[in-house]
Amino acid sequence: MRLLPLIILMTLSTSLSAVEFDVYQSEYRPLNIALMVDAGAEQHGESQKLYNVVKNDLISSQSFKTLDPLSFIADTASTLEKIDYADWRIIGADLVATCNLTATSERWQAEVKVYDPFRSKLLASNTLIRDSNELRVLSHQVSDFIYKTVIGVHGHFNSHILYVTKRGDKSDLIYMDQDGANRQPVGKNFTLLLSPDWAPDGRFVALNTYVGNRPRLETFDMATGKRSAFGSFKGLNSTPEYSPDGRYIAAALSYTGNSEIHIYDLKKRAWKQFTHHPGIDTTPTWSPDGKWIAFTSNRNGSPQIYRKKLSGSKAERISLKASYNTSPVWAPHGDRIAFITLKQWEYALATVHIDGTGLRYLATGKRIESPNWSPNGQMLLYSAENSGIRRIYRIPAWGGKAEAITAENIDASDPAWSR
Amino acid sequence: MNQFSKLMFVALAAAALLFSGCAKKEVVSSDGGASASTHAVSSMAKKPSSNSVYFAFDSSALDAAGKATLNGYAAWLADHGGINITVEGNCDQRGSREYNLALGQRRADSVKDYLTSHGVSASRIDTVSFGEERPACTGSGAACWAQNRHADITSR
Repeated sequence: MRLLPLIILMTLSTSLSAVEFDVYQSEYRPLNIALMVDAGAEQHGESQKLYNVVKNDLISSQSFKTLDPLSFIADTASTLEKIDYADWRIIGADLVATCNLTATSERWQAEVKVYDPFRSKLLASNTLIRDSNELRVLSHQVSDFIYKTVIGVHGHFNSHILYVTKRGDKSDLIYMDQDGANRQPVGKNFTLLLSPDWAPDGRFVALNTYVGNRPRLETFDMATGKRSAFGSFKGLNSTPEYSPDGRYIAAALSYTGNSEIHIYDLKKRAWKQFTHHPGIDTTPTWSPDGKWIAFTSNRNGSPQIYRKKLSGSKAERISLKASYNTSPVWAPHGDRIAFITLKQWEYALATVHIDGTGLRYLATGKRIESPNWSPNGQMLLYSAENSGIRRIYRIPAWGGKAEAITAENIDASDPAWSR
Repeated sequence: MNQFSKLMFVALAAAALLFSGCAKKEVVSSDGGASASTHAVSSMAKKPSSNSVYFAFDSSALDAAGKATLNGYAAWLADHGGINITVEGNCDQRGSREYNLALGQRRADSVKDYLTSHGVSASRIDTVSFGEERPACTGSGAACWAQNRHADITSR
């Protein structure tokens, strides 16, 4: 009998030191792409800018590797005139993408072609036009076109990201393009700022902040910076999330005496209670068809992920493994839910099918939090702590390498990707 | 501990009764409101030395020490009818920040429920949760986390 505590202690310490998560890695290998941009001599600087943006986009998706132009046998001009597939097969280019950039009066025009040298085939071509001050937007459109042609999914390269930076007692809302360009504060000096969520039209952001030591829900106008409260009840006012059609915002309120999911109708300006359970219910997330809400609940003792139909069925449990599962976010294509899971005090970002099968651990990290999908469901953002500083990371949803997208010395949390 | 605190409560209440009895007598004999109130103050319940109660991980259950503190507050609030309080719920940094907001609220509500069941009017108690956003101890580790899982009572 005396040995028993010792045995328990030993098993505890061994299991704590073990690696807890088998992080998922797909078999996918990035495609080698030969990328060429041609423009008249006057536009050399601009063509280089476009090339760099597109190259960075494609590499950051982890679906492509751009080949070094020094390895090219054929030159850009002759390839644009007529491609010789053999020249590209020999250097191992899975794909060739050409872009002819021309300037018309006040406009940029990009003629894009994507080839498959191994099938000797033009896969697709397109002409994209943008105003002269929108070269970056045009460049991302070129990336989107190449991505869609090859991967079959819309690119996310013209999307935007919001996150929160905390400085002492104050928090700022930071905006940037998905590639880190145009980074700037759009809202300043919030007293705590949590869970920003972008409206589908991108014009508003719903968020949780504190005014006079009281939490409240506000919409933030991206164009004017105007803040409007829409939830300031007794107790909790937290975790707002827009419905896919942008008409409703689901949130967790506790004025009934317990944290429940409620739904705000932006048109009628009225709240309606959605969950009714004495356990904690929080962090609602909508299914892409708007018919379900998944949420965190501790109704069975520990926090787990559930989903419930808007039309009012019984809640079904989604997360089956682990004693602590939180922060669900429904994938834009609806097939999976990303969430944070805990095992033996180690946290991981994971995804799972709606029926609880197909669990994949994508990343582990200290204080790993706040998963958020790219609009095309191919990438995930999350925050994690590194040397005492929270940073935002981006990782392919199909398993890949996590990349930090915020600085190593500035606090960053609560990422929100535009839809 | 619980038994003990109950005993203490009864003893305090008895003492208070005794004093108030004395005070009444004095009011009659001296006809001086001032001296009566002086006695009353000295017999009133003292504000507990700690304004915090602590919790276990992912729990909003009050332990014996927490209940003892709250018994003290229930007595003090009974004697100070003009004072309203805010209960602030807090969590340690482990787990989801959003879930911790709800957990902090539940901790504050748990304190409020205990006080109302011990005679304090619910209208005098406000609650707020800061989740893990305002840690008392900013470091890491079990000792620090234990300090951060608390609900504080502040008067307003």
